Amino acid sequence: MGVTLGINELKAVTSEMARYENMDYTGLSFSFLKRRLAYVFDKLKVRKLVAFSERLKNNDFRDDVKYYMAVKVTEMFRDPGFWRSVRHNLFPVLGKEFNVWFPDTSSGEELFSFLVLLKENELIDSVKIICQHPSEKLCNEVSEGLLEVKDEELNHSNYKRLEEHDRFETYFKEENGRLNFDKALLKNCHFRIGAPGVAQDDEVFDFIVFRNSGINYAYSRHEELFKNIVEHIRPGGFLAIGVKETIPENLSDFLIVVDKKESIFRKAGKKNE
Amino acid sequence: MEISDRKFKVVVIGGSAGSFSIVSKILSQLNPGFPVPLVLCLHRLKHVRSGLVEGLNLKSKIPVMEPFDKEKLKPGVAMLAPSNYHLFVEFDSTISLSTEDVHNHSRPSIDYAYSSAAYAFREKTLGIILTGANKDGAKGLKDIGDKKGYTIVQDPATCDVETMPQAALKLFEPDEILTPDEIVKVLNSLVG
Repeated sequence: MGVTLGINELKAVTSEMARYENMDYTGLSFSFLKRRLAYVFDKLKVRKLVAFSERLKNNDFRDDVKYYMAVKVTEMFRDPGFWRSVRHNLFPVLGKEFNVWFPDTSSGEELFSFLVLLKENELIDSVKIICQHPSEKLCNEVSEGLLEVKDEELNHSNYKRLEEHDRFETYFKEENGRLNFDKALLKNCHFRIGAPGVAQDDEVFDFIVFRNSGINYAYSRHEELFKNIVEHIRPGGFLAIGVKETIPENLSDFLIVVDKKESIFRKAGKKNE
Repeated sequence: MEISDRKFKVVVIGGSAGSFSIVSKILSQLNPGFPVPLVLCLHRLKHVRSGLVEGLNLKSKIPVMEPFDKEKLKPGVAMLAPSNYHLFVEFDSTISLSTEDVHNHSRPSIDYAYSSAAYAFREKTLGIILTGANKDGAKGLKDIGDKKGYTIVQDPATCDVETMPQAALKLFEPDEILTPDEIVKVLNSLVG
């Protein structure tokens, strides 16, 4: 029988976790937290809250918690129409050289999809990418190009919906039950450990990909998170969120809709303003 | 207490194989002024984002829409769980969406939609399970029953695929087992 958490216990657990670096989960919605912590407790065989608090003192355990708190992106090329829109609407505007931030790289699927798109548009050598997540283990896994084999068929079929040709298998090798993404395509990706959506003060990006992470947050943190993210978009740069997410109302004046269906927005202004 | 006297805060309808025509029939026969928010959680193709809501709207007597995350439930509006997202009903009468793992091979999972509604609104939840080809929804509907909500299972004899209703009937005894026409009558009894 797993641990069932009520609201007061969730508050207590998240306060305890927030004492540690990059473990502030207090802004997540209660219903998400309830489900996710139950999942984490199950994965890490936590039977009692007291034991959880004790085990949090261990660095490796904390990294495991951060690893399992992440909701992995469901598949490569999720929403093929979104990737098509990036290729048609963003690449011609962004030019040859631009930088991209994945503020919550919860698994490889979204990043690898983007890298394939860059490769097929001959941008792979000139675009710089920063990938961020609180879990070191997760960053290492993604930087090694690892993916679960079970999703290969779905990933491949999404790719075929996006592209007229089929070169999907050239990007992967299967080894020991896992798929290894072509590491050469990761050469311009920099992985760093950090809380989702928190950039360095002076950083600005031409394109920020933050899809389906904001949905896990409660209203107040959701607004704060997006305010921070929008501040780090370069004038004239782009933001992508999940197709069923919305931008907090107080930020909508700062962003122009580029593709409503695929939830792509552009910050007003030009690159060097 | 008669069902018509109960003040439900949400009606959640779940279905899978064969359920489109039943849901369409229900929506087309609802009385105008249907007073309760309606949530539709139907198994659907992951990669097909459009078509279903448009199809349901063709005959529906109430508006059918796909909600965005954090959108409020609205009386007399049917909200259809978007493809490839789980849908949850929250305490504050909003919808939350999630891309967490599939449940019973499904995203959206009907279990999740039912259980979240039961947790949020307890006895003020009405859950209806329709035809379908897997067991998703059975446990969630039982959660509604356990919280003293009202539970209806489509009569398996009227189902294209009876696996889903039968899975519910194996788990617990619902308040009613009804044909689609009878389900419409129950829903319309909530008007006025």
